[in-house]
Amino acid sequence: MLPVSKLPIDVKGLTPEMHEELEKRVLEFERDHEASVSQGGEGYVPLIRKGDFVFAGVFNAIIVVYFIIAVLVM
Amino acid sequence: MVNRNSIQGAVYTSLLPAKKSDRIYGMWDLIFVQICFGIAAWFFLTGSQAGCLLPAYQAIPVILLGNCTGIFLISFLSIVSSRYGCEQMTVTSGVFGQKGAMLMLIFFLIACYPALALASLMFGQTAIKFIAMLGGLGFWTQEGWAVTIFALVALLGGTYIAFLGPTAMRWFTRISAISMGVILLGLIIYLFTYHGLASVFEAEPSDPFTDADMGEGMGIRWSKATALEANLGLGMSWGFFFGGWSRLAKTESNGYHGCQWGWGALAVVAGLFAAFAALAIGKYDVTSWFLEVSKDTGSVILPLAGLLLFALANLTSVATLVYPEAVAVKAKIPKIKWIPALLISIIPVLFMLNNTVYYMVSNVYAFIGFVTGIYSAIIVADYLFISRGKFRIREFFSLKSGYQYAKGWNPAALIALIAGFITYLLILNPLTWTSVTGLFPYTTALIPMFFVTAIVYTIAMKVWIIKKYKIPFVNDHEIEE
Repeated sequence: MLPVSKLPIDVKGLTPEMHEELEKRVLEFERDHEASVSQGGEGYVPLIRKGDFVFAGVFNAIIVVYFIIAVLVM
Repeated sequence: MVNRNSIQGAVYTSLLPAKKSDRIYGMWDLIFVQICFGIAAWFFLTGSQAGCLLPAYQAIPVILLGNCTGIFLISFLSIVSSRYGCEQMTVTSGVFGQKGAMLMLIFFLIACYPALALASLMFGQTAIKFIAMLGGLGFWTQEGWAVTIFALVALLGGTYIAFLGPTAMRWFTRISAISMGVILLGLIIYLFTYHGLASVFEAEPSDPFTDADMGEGMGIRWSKATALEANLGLGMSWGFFFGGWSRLAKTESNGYHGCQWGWGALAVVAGLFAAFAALAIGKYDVTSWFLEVSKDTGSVILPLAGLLLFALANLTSVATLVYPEAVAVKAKIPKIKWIPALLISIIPVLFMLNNTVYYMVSNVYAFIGFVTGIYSAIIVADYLFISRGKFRIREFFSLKSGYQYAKGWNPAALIALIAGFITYLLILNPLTWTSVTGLFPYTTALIPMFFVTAIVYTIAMKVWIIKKYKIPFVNDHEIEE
């Protein structure tokens, strides 16, 4: 494996301007966010929270219980 | 000087990562967009089928579990795209390897083709009913080639809308959402006025599996398992679509909730009322309901307007599938031009525009869920147990050097893929609707397949791949300074 700094961006079919913009965005991300992301921190936008999973989990647990009662038991 | 419009276009069509300043969707924006995108032919057909197989008190939890819990299981797919601003197929390379991601692009296309066929055929069915209501007779009002011809018109028309790009898509999606909303409201009013909720709940399903066909006590089991499999298939069918939307979300939470509730708990209202209508009217074919409405109300104008709106909505459904397909092809293979990308997205569908496919919604959504569920299980397992969503953005775009694993393929993902395939096929053949082991209808096929795939991937990664290959931020912590 090459060192990170030697990894070329080699997406084919991009115009030179687009390639330059892609390179710029990757460098910006590496400079501003990569260290944080590598430690489990945020990338471009704020991280998801545990409460988000809990909310969705509880909602779906209710549906599962409803399903068990209405379809499997009755 | 860089053309800012082309850069903006490239951000929205997935070629470039979307920075924080490019993000346009809050949670409610995404929920609204996903309801517009989600409420379409597929919810009406899977809901209607559940209503033909099960009484209302069982159809409701089956539809809710299939669509809400199905999408909940795969909802983690939204997170990495939000974090890096990259679309689904780009971040897929971090898990499957660069060549493995190309294979998943093929999976994505394969999953879209039958759904496209269903939406096109529904347009065809709508067209022949429209002509019949206008007093037409003969070939153009009968199922068969007339449906195929109109379906072809829908496929080409929808592709043309996709060809016009995001602005045209936005307008058609809005019009379609309003159309579907009006139809749904009309359906609800009709059901309450002419049938009543009590009669819906007392109605017997019109076309359940019977003990005479399936064996003593097996008819109801097959009905429950079939309806659940189709709805789970629809719930999991969104797997390939998460990243395209959540990469434009303002926070990871916005992307997670926006997609999950928009495609799940809120859009599923269409499925529930479709089931009620199927129970009240006793017919699977959604477009034939308009004829029943005409008979019951004595009005021709209202059902005609309904059919017209329905046709428009189905045309837009075609476009909303073709567009992300073509975008995914362009994002993964940028040298392909826009028109060839669109053609790749539709040509195999031409061979599916057979009217019998319209009546095979269980098979279609079981197949789509099968293909999408395997992919989703691997991505979800990677997020929860391996990478925790930590990737090196440069490697996504370093096609020959980044995320190579074994010559571009992650063997753990391939092994898990095979394990998932075998598990599913041992439980259910989605094409013949038979079970070689007899496990279906005692269990669904999608849920065991999902967990077996995820477990096999996790074990293979932990005992083999992580020890053999350097994986960014899992066992390789080099940071570009």
